Amino acid sequence: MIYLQQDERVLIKSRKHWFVIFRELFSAGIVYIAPFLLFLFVDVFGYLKVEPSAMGVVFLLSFWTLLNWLIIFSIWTNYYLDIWIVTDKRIINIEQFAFFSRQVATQRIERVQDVQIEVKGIFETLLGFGAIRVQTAGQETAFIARGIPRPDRAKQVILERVDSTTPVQE
Amino acid sequence: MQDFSNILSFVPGGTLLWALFFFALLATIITSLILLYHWIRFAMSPGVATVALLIHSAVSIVLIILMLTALFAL
Repeated sequence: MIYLQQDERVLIKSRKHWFVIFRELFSAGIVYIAPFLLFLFVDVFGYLKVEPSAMGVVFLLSFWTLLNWLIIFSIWTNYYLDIWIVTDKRIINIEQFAFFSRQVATQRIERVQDVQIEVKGIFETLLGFGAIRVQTAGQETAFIARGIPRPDRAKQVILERVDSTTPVQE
Repeated sequence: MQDFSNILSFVPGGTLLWALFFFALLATIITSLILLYHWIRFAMSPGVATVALLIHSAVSIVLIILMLTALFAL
């Protein structure tokens, strides 16, 4: 849980693009249906020597569905707990890598020097999401948030905020 | 060539299925507790976490009941 300061205003609060979780769920779906396809293949070509009982099939189906259900919920939890927040004072990127592996990165907005967006690949280009790289003063490694929807808008909001906080030099 | 077709022949079929059932039950309980911990500790919206918990529990319980029903019917 992130606690904001009393006078802190949230400018952008966003989760990763839906395609990020869709891609992971699609892979899980392939793993889920693979045994059924194998069973169908074995059955169609007559390699199945025994007639499986109906209750045996129900048991194995429930067992396999339950294991996959747990995997699906783990994927969803990892997706749901990743969050990207831009306030008028900070940029916060929360990344849940796995269970018990979590990174919360915060950068003060006035330290931002440069913002880059990276949109790579056909899906990212067509669906409008990508990575945002924020370079701050005095840090060699940049602050990177991936799978951000509409990164161009996020970049604009951050730069506008940076401009408003940076004193104009005469 | 070694024949591995009867490698599990010493385990009665029912025992193997019960072992699978308890494995699934244990995996469900442990995973659900871990998920619950993460939702309570880190979720930004308690409402979404509660709905997720209800859906997860309901489907898991239905599947466990189905497995038990099938086991007793076998």
